[in-house]
Amino acid sequence: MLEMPYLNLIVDKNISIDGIISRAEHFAKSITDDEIKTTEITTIISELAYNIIKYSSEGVITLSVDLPNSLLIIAEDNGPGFVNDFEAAMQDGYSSSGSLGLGIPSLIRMCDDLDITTSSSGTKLTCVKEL
Amino acid sequence: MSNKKTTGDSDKTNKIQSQQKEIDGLYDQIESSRFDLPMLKIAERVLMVPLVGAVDSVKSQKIMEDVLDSIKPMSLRVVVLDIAGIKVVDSAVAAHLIKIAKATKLMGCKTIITGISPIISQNIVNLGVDVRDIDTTSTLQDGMQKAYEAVGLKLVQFNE
Repeated sequence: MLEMPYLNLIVDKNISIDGIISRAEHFAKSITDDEIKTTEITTIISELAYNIIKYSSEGVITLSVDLPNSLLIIAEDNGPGFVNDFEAAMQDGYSSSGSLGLGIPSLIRMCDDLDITTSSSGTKLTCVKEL
Repeated sequence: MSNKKTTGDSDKTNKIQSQQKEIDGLYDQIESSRFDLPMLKIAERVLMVPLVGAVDSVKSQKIMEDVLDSIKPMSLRVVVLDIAGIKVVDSAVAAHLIKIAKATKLMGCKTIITGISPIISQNIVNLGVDVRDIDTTSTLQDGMQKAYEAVGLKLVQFNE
């Protein structure tokens, strides 16, 4: 059986974002030669990791190339979610924490497909990035 | 027999996990050692700060404090932040850069962000960052030109 490229990143308060970004960048370079895609993938991971650290205590980001030419990124955390301000969080400039409020809108722009499930016990973001 | 195989597998998994942890630790070490903040005075009232590696909230706080602390003693008018060496500019990094630019402005010092590559610029647009208030140039050279102009200096070619 052919080994599919796969990367599992555990994100918690103690981890260094740099290390995560490095690993994501290394992985992105192994699956695509396109510099812009590499930057976008790394930025998506960085964005997801920051969100987990900011709004939750810990989470996991999984990257896998399931279909040919398509990267699946799944970020899951056990934080309080954002059920009450879900609609607002989709808009540019809304932030519940005083930041730029571009996290989710930028993910929408950078991913080819984005699915968000959120509840008071956790949030799961499923992103598809065409390679 | 099958029992033994399972034990072997879990041993392997444990070994892989501990090795992965070790690798992760090494990555973290490399990254943290890569961050240093040189504050380069390149002309009277002009400071240049090249940023390298990954910028997180802790580092960006340090950058902001270091820059703000030097404004008064060095009578700075311009700070040039070169981000060519930054690995990823995500919305958090962009937010930090904007914050630094605004804070220096309050102290009467202009911030010019240089070293914006085509990829980074595309990325910043994708992020949706409002860059209207920030002075940026693609190359450090152009940034320096602007900085010199701001303090009334001029680079001239000597003709012997």
